[in-house]
Amino acid sequence: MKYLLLLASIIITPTSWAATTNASSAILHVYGAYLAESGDCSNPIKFVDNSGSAQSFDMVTTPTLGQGTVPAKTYNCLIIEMTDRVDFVPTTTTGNCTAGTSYTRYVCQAGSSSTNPTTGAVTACTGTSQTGEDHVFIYISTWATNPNGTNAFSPPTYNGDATNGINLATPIDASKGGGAFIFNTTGKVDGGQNPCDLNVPIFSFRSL
Amino acid sequence: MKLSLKKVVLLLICAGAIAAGIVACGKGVEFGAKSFVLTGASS
Repeated sequence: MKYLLLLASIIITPTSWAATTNASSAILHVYGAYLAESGDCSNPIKFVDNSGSAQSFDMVTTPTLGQGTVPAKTYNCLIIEMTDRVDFVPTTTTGNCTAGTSYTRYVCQAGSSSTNPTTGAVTACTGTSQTGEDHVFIYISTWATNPNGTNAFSPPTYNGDATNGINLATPIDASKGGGAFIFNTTGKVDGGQNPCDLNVPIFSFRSL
Repeated sequence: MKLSLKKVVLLLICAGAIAAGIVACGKGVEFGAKSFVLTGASS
């Protein structure tokens, strides 16, 4: 009988049935953005510069992150300079996630690091998923093959690198005038975690 | 060969046009730059 009760308690634990949901808000804090011709992201051109101060953008509202002038060439790497803090709001209530409540997730934690594309300096990230805001660079490159980014904060070192960077499906043609940095949180808000968590979003780029 | 005032004026106009063309051509390199707008999206 005790075992049956134990089994029943496990079955009805909220986290065991909690599903994932979407985000009605997903706020990133962006310092700037770069384009580089090479897939190794070397010699980048900074075309969005928030002058050392991160500006907050809700990616759900399709914001303009910034603009600048670049040579009308083809680029194999886009770098987003931002903090590792993501503020998100679940669309629906599930498990430990409550609709309309804002949660915070830090995506670069102690044990990981980020590479500055201009200086090459490697800076260690701090804290946990719940603490420690870090200044990071996210590398999206045609040389990277991983869509989720095992190590999104360092540039790929060779064409076909499955560890560093995030996959950029096709090179960016700057003559088209722009594109969208996509932070796809569809189905990534996880009520099975405590506290409510954001699983790794799918990063990508879509040309105009 | 003597150059009439009319010819001198024409030569000056042509020289000016050539110079302007060279300048425009030089600036053409800069005009290769493109305004690039980065937006965000969640899906």
